[in-house]
Amino acid sequence: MSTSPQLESYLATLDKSLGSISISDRAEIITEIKSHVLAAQDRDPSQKLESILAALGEPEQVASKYLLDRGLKTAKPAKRPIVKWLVVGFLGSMFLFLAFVTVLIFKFSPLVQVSKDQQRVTLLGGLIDVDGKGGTVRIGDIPVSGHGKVISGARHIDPAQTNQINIPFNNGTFEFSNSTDDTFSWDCSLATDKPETNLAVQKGKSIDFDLSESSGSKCEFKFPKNVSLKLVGNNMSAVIDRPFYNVDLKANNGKLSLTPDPSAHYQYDIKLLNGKMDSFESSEAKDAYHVSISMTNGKIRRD
Amino acid sequence: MCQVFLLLYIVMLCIVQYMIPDIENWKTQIRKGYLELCILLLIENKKRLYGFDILDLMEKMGLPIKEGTLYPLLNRMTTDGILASVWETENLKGHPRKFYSLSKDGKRFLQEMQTEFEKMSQIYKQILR
Repeated sequence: MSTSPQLESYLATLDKSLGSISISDRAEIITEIKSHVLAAQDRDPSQKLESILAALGEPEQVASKYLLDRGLKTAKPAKRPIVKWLVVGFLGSMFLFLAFVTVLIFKFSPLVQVSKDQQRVTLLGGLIDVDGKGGTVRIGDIPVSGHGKVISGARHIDPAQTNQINIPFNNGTFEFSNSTDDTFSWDCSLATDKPETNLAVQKGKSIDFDLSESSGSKCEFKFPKNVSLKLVGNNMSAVIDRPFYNVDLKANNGKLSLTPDPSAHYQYDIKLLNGKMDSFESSEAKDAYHVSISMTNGKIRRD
Repeated sequence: MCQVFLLLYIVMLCIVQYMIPDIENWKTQIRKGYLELCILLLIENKKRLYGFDILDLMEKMGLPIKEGTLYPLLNRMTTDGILASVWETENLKGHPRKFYSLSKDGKRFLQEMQTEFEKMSQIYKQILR
């Protein structure tokens, strides 16, 4: 009687899995299992071969029961091809990843180099170059942010004609110290592509020093006495050292370090929505300078 | 928050389930020896049986056994000399069948098994009294 390929395959796997059992005993086992399957089909012809084999169990499991009953070591179940390929794929990916990381480390080392004197940070062996002084960021030879325009200048302030200097900005780092004469001077690095223009423009009794066109600004100012400062922008870090002038500062996010002069009086109006701030004591003196600060997120420090 | 508590509850249930001893494990252990005894008794009663008959009879008696368990067990008992086997073809069309009967040693072995089982059964009943 011819047997189905499915049954032949089952018996072949069983025979292979019986491993250490002698050939004659294996043949006996195979014949008995085959006899069982054919008898089951004879008894109930509607019964499918699949269900008869399923009732017997996987050939490897049946073989392991024979081996265990005889006190023999069971054969290791063969790894499924999908598992084998998954393992190969995983190990291959890991190897490629490690090779890639090794090449990156060799090619782009040192990973980070900081030069405080030159205010320069180079990343990945010079691939990314951040020049704090020039206000430039370069990836390779391609400039990403501005051209690092350095602009310096000074302007004499006549208190009779100018009572306020407005500095609108986008993002910036500012340092304010007192001017020794009545001049307003600046030393800035600007990240902008726009051609150089006259930054300090007189408008009525104010001077507009507009930095809002620059995506990033870094400026040191010498500020004259008794002229109000209005600083309005988005993100900033500012240091105001012993101001002898009114300050009106508005920013979304920022960090302010304010050092009051011990000989001067100040009246504070500080609004900080989220963040941390030191305490400032207002004076009721008539000659007190008005310091108005409004910030959404930030930190205000008294030095 | 609710999800965290639900997750913790499920984890605790799993731990408790894991800690409770599994009755199925005990059943498997006790069935192992008991099965052998029952199969040998069946073969002794019927004088000779082949695998398919044993499966049927065991199921009818409420002690079903899987094919993948029975055949290795019969094979081992034959190798141990407890059972004797012979291949027979009932008719021209039929397949050869392997019939099992008790060997001389098997009969002695079965008697010892019965004695031991009776003893254990007596002890169990005595304790229950």
